[in-house]
Amino acid sequence: MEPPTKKPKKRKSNHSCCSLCEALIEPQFANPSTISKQDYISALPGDCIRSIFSFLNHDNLDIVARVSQRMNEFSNISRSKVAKSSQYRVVKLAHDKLRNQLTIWLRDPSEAFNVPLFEKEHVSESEQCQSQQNKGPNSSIRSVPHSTIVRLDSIMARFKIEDAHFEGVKFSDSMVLHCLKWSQKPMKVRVKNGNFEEKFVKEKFLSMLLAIEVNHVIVQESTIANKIDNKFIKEFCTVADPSIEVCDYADWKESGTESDLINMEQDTLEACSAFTNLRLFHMRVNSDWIMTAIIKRFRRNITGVWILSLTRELTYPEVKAVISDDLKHIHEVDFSGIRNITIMMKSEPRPKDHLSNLPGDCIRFVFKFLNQNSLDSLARVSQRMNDFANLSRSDVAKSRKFHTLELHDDHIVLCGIWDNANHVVVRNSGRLNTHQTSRPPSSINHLSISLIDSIMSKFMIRYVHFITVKFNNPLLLHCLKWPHKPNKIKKTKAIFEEQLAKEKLLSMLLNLGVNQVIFDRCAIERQIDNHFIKEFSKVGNPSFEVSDFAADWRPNQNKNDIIAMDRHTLESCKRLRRKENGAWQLSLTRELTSADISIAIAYDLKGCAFGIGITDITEALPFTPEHELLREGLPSSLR
Amino acid sequence: MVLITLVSSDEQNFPVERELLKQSGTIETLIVNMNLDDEDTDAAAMPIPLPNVKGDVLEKVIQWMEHHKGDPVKEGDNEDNNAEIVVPQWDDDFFKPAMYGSKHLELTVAASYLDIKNLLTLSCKAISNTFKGKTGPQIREEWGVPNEFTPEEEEAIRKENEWSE
Repeated sequence: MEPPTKKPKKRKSNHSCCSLCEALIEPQFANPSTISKQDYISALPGDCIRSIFSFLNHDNLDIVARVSQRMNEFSNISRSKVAKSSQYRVVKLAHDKLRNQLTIWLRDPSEAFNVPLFEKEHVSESEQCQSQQNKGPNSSIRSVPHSTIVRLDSIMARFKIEDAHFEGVKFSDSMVLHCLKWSQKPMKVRVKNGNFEEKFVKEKFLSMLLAIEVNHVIVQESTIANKIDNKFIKEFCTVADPSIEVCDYADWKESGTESDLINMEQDTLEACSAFTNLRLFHMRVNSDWIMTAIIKRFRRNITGVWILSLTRELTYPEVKAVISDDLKHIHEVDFSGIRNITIMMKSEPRPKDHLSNLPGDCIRFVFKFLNQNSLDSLARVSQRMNDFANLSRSDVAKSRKFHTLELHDDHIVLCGIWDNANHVVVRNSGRLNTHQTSRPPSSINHLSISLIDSIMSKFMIRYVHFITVKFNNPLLLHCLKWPHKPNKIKKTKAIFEEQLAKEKLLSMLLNLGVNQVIFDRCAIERQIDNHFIKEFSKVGNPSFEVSDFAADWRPNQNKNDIIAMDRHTLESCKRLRRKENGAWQLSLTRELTSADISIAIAYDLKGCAFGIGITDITEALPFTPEHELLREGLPSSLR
Repeated sequence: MVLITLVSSDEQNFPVERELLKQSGTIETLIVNMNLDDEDTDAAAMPIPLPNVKGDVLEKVIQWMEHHKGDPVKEGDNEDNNAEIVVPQWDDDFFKPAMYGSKHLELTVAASYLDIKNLLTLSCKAISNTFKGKTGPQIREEWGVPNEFTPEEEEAIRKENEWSE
């Protein structure tokens, strides 16, 4: 048996670069490959060596890679054939700017195990000076060293990596080339706070994504957004279940302007119906075309979210007219003005069993005979059963066990009518463990919102108290859809994610028909105007309390913030004739005297007025400084 | 019983039962192309030359085929089940005396050339078993492989492949 022909090899002592980067096939070693007469194993034909190596695992290949140059070469070739471990599915390459350290993280599918593989970088003095001079947003991001790129290759060859995550990493030409040659192609690629060495590397990076047929790309990097254009979208959509998420609005707004928006072509939009998730703030879609694409996407019955910029604002009637009834129950469309549209697509897999195959009306009819506990059980049977269990809850009698719902940003408390002390904490998120009294309110997460919906559908909740939460569109949209409407809503230390949320909250109050509202802070007063008061007064026994004058309102407001109440609005507030307990607290244009009050109040009211009186209108309440305010009128500082 | 003659590279003739040769993809193709299965053809008068296989190796191959007469012949590559393949005791004893020497490797090459999938699989599996649980220097010693790496290169290869410290 003749040994295989030895190819001349370049001698190279420096191992800093690899065969891939030099476009060479064979690895470079200092000594030439020598196959001695006794070395039968290295003299085997390549096919035989590959066949032998196919029986080895990665650990065995690690060993044989160190036996000889020929075996090293074949061990690398054979890795693609060797079964990959499913132990870790996520790899993350992250750059810690403070420590100037690159770390490769390996995670299992549940992300319960996180294995850090540290790769320390040492920055030379000259590089440090350079980075100090160019203090741009990403100036401190350095290219990934070649040794780390090679190490990443080795991980990709060894594990069934499905999700490759890069954070604070600068992509070089060499790195993109290595990604292109990964034996294991990830399905998902995420880039956060990334950077690109040269302009052409951006284009190469996007070409690489197309070439390795990634089907989910998340690029939280606004500088690459303009490269994700009509052409790219059309090419990308050829993979199965494609998803593209390009930076959120806040990121985009920092670097992009209205003129930077890319207009989406009609054929691109048609291709978009294949996308499961689509977040493209930087692309503007013609509002006249969008609904056709949305309906096409709805029909696919796959869970996902689309967020797009529009050429003009769409109205609810416009959308409602297009979406057929069968889709309305499954999907949601939310509008955040002209800037964007959010579409939540929920899946409804085709049922395989006879029960789930029943028409929706029949299922709802069947479910009418069940109680909440039975619906709980059915909700766990199948997705379709779950959907109908939720729909049917409004038809089923509700428990009166709890009366009050307290919503905190990190937990929910349910209280009974008579025994508020015996409350139940329904949910604690992970944040509760790190609870700080001074931290700002945060948004309620999606899971908690669903839980709130579920509570509202099961219990006869009369009073909802929002405490230290951040009102945002999803929360308000869900509140609006509660099957059971509360009578009383209170807000304490809750804030608003954006201006639009304030208006939405007030419109929600009107839609829900709430008749008692108590708001603490003065952030929303400007929206509570004549029009709102007139609308609000249409409910039975309305009560509206906004901010405490001394504690909340006065320190933050000036005279210009006061809204003049018009006569019609004041008419809707006629009060004394109703002879009910209560308190009014208003600012006046001038100080009222006892004579003014005495003349205005009719004799029939005066009879009991001594008991009630203008300041004693709240006979159940003791005399408080609030009544002083009514007497004094406007404080001198505001006159 | 139809006999077909195989001729090794060193001109040795081996008359082999037709049925046995169905295990070899290469010989089966030659038999079909030479119409040796036709009743009109005198198969004995038409030996099949195998210039890449020496006589002593071909003898071992025929011995193996005789033992595995009637075994189902593998079709195509079936590398998915490599982890489950176990070398039977008879085959282990058959390969063992020549293991670590040229003979076993020549048998493997012959199995590859003659396209005897079952022999190639078992032979490769037996070789791969000799690597398991050994260090690089141990494998070098057992298989007579000279060390071509500098210590730096060996360390670099180790670092490239390691995934966890």
